[in-house]
Amino acid sequence: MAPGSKYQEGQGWHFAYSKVVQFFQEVGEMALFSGRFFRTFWQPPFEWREFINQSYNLGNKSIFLVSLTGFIMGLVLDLQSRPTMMEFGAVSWMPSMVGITIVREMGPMVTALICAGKIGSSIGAELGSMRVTEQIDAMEVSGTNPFKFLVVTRVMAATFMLPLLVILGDACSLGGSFLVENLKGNVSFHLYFNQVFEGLEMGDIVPSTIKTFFFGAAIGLVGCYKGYTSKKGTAGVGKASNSAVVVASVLVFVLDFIAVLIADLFYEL
Amino acid sequence: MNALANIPDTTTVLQNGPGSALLEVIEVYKAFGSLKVLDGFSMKLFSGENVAIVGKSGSGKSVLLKCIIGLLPYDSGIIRVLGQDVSQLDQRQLDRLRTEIGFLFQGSALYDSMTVRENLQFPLRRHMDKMQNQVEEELIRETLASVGLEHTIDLWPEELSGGMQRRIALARTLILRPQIILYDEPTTGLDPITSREIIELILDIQKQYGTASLIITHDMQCVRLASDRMVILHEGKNYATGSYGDLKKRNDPIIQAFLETS
Amino acid sequence: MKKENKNAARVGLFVILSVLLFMVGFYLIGNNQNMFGKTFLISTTFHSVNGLKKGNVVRFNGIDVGSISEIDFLNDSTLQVIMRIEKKVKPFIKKDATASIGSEGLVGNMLVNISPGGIAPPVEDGDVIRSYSRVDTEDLLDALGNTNENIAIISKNLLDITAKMNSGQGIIANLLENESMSDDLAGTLRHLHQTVRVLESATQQVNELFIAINKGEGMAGQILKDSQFVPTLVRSSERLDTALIGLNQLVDKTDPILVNLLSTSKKLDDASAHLDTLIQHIDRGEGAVGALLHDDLLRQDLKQTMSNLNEGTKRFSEDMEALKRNIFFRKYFKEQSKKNK
Repeated sequence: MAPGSKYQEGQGWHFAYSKVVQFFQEVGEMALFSGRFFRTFWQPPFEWREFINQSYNLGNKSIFLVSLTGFIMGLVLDLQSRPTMMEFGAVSWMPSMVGITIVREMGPMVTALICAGKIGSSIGAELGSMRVTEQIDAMEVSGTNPFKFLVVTRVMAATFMLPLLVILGDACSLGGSFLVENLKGNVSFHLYFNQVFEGLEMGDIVPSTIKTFFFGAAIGLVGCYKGYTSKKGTAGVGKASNSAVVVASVLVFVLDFIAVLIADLFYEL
Repeated sequence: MNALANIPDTTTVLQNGPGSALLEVIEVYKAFGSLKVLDGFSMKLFSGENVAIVGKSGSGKSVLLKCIIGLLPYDSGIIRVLGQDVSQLDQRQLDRLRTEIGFLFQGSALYDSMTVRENLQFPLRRHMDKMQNQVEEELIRETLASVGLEHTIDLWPEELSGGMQRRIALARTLILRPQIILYDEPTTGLDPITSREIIELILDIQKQYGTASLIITHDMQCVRLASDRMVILHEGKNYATGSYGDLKKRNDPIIQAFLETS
Repeated sequence: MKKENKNAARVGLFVILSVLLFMVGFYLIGNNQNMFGKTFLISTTFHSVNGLKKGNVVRFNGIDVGSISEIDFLNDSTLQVIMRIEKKVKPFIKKDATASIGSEGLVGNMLVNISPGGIAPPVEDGDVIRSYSRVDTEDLLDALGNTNENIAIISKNLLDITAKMNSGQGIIANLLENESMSDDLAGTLRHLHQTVRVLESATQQVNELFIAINKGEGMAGQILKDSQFVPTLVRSSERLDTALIGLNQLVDKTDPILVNLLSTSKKLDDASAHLDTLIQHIDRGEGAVGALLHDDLLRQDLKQTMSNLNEGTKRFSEDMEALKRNIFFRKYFKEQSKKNK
């Protein structure tokens, strides 16, 4: 489909040039796809039932994975930073430090990356195979706007489920960290969480929650874009899901960077 | 079929009397970049007949079907379905028209995230006003029975064999009682015996519901058994039209090449 | 159908649980910053807030009761700090409570500490309470230096006066020698003389102490030496006391004309009492750190004492001058001068 993809191989700068063109084409197409999403989103009716279904598929089915990774992350974070803090005689600061680290950055980031892997690839593969087996065409023939039915619902589900998953991941991380503190430092549940929330401010929790919505939207949009526009054949499906994960992960980092810049403006950290 | 009494009646063609075409394709051009797929293709489909379109793979047979149902835009020419010019319709009118055209996709295209019942419900619920659950259920069962797979109602597509999937897909297109059914390679990927069953089913449906069919295939057995007429699509044009027997008699090397592939 | 409903229910459960979790966190953080619940505002002013920030903790008697809601410039040298305090502690913060800036720990956040007031009525919403900044060591040392200078001047005055008396210069010296009651007065003045000397040496010690502090030999370490300094001050004040008692007795014996003298001596008495309480303060302060904590009060007391002492001695010399010119004494003074001829 893309004319730029027919580059002449091994022709030095020609090759590089076509790669650059390809990159811009990809970015442009993704932007158009996002635009189409926003346009279609406002057209009634909204596919509530499918939205709920996808929320279940993308959200509930990720609960275990996110909880587990979150828990281990908290555990490891605490175990790793504890000796250093001990050197400074600042072990009592562990809860606030871990709390800030998790709520501000680690929780959203790790959860988003896990979800970029899980949600992004599953959307990419599902829509990709639907495209390849003409299920998307079948839907259109059946009087359904497949973009609305498949893309809008999935993007919305990812947008709304990711923040919830991040909250869950944060909670599990703090749980993991608490376990270490409790076992190693005899810190009580009450004291631990008291200290965690003492270290946190609205300026920590609000921007990091807002940015997770964007993470979710990005993961959903990239997954849908890759799947929806995937090429024919089973290789196309694999490529769709693979590049969905890669692009979504990179986008999460980019968005995180932008989020930090914006939060910086408002809160001056 | 009381349940279907509320299907919007967009059909004006039938009232024009016999002999008028349900489907007219006139001088249609379609190109992907520099690759001309349809190069002034014309044909007609009349009420109650089965027409097979034969061509090499990649010759644009599937493209033709997708143009007819409005999935792909074409560059120039006219495609008129039930008297309506497909390219002039807005989304709503197109959706209405599509209730009159069934489309059997090449790989069945059953929604694999849904059970058989949900697969059949999907077009019903999308195209129709909400009907009572009981009526809906009856309609689904009846349609499933007409393809002989009533017992699969609660199964998932992945649990069915290829032939069964094809039948369910056919049931899904039949459930709206279309006037025209477009078959995209109905027998590919199936063993000869199952192919035979599908062909018989196509004929059955034609008899039972009086639908006209446009069958795209390169399976000569299918052409011979299922079609009243065949069209040879060659280099984007309607190369020859006629019944299997008529064309067999012609001494054209291209036609002979097609007919001998079976 | 059933499957879908079940899924919907699961999604709902997950959504509700997560949102609840979020709200609990949000509430806990908000609670920390007193965003919810009933609060009221009071303010205070500082010259410098030493890095205090919006949202920092406000403590009352060491308990977290609120947070800083605003820091603004009132003018070029004064900052207004508005504090949001929980309503439930309102009755315990009096109008004469004092706010000071401190820090949570060695390297912790800055915070405002409110020390409880005395008998004043409780604060109202929007009240401005007093503040003192004990964090500014330079200011503190400046003020103490001033006090120190004052002490030096006063003691010099006292020394001058008593020296004159001692050497028999002037009429008072003669008076003391000739009259029967003069014995008492002479004794008193001797005591005064001694007192002044002790006071002088004490002043010297204070001086040395502050020089040491200024040199930066470590405030805490130097002030710990006050175990020597304090008893000396105590002793000197005791002597000043006995001297004044003697002076009192003397005045009682003399004519009521000496009322002026009495009031002067009372003032001196007051001054010494101040000195006494001051020293007790230092004593009670349990060494250096305690003394430092109280140093604002200490400084004020010291200043007061010294100005009182100054005033007292000034009055004392004035009274003596008046005595000389008094009608009843004039004759006596004249006789004395004749005899001397």
